[in-house]
Amino acid sequence: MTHLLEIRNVGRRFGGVQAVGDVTAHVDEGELVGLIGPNGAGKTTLFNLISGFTPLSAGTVAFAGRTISGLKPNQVARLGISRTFQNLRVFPNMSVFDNVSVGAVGALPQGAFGALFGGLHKRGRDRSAEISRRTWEALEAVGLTHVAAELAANLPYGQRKYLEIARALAMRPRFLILDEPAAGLNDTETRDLAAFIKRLHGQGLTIMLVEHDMTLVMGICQRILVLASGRKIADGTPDVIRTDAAVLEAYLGVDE
Amino acid sequence: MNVFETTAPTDGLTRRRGLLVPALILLLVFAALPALLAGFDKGYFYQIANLALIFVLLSASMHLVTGVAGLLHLGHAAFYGVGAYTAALLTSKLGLGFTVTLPLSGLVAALVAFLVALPTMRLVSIYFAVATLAIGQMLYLVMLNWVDFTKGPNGIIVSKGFELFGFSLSGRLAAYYTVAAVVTLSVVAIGRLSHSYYGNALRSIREDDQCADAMGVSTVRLKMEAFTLSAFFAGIAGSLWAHMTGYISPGDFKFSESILILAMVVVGGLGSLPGAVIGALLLILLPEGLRGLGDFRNIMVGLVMFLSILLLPKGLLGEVSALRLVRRQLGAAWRSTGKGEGIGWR
Repeated sequence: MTHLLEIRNVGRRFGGVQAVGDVTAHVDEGELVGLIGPNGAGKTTLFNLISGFTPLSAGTVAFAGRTISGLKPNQVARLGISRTFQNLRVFPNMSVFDNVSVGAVGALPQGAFGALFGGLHKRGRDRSAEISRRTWEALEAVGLTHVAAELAANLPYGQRKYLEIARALAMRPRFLILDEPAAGLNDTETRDLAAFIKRLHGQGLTIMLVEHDMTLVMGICQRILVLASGRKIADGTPDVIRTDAAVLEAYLGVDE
Repeated sequence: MNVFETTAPTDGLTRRRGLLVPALILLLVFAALPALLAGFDKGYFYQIANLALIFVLLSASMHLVTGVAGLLHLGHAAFYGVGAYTAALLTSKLGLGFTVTLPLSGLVAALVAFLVALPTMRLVSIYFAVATLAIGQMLYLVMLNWVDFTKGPNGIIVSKGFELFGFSLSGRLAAYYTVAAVVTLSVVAIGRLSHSYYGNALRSIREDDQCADAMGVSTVRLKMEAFTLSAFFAGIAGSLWAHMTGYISPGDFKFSESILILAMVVVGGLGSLPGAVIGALLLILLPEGLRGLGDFRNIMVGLVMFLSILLLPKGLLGEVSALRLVRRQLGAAWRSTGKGEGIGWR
């Protein structure tokens, strides 16, 4: 059986710095995988390598049996990998609905021709209706329908987090990458988010998340990858990771 | 508390067309205004009305590339010029009429835009702006200095007025109707492009192009399209101008014209199509209305622009309120809110 996502000997060098080196890992369909590691371990870089934001220096990435290294981010996205960002990137001057619709129209493009003449024939109208429907469903999934007409910039921080997730969901991805979804949230909000991520996973979505909040990661992930200084140092269930000597060393340092 | 229906309005794609505002606009442009013009029967008023309409189209086309897609374009007037020169040359060298020159002017301007956009589209923000400035200057200098082809600073006389498949439309009123019809259709087309999910994809590029890329939006391709489409409509405006005035020269398409069009879009409200239309009307009609002030009028126009930016940084009719207006009044969106406001696009 092939894995949904297969990362083989992946590396990335920025000048003299090896941000990610020789990482091999995989994610199977239906998994909820956590990616942890100390600051500067290369977690976000690895995400950027998968989603096509940063070109690889070495190795390959394959998704659903197809090599995706070398593709542009929008091509990777249209294959079914959608992501959120560490530093919250919503489109501030667009309404909540319009924000989320970008995810839907990204996966289901409406071209200039469709915009001009789509209203004149059934196929074009169906396309718009489908984009509207996917957008609305994503808003329902995160519970933001009541602010659909608001400007994204006017939402409180916590709701903007969910907005970003809704935008990613509107693409109907096969694989969702969440980059530090709990950053900046308080304990209650983090608990709600954990329940929400579990629910998404329960609906069959494959998810990978980078997170600093250990309780969140340990609580919901089935498997955890640990990076330190750009290398994978552990890969296993939360129980294994908790007691792994290399992980403890990376996080706590060693007592000489 | 919840003002929206909580179920997905999949079946309820109720289309409500607020017909009042579009009907009033059409009535104004195609009945009231021509009646007034015919009543006064002064060539000067016709000239002003046509000029205002042409700049409405220029401003609307720039709205698409600068307001919606967020590409600061400093050479728009050059594509207007390419369209005008295409019309003028086709008329003077090949004897073609308006029916043929109108679409060709748009297509040639779009083609030129496409070719120059190829190497520049990967430039970002201010670098792109400077590249368009350079492109505008290059095109202007070609019009000015390629004397054998363009007659240089002497300009070209366009001997044919408006016609449709051989029917002459060169009377004052017929010419006004021609300009009004072409501009209205073009503005409606630009409205479809900017008020749709396609328009949303363009807006997302303006807001954060990397993030748009991650959402599956082909940013480079869409930027090219916005740039090329906007040049197409500028070319259409150029053809109208050439056949309307009967004489064009490079001075009509110089850098200051690009800046004037940019000012219209900014004063009206970046990202707002109604704003772009209002901005164009204001900046064309105001200087004419202030003619009595002599040389002071340009200072007054500058003052109006300065104050409007100072007091209304989002423009006269900013994007947010404009979108709301379009969604409510022009029936562009399906409705699902209880507030009489539509969200989503048809």
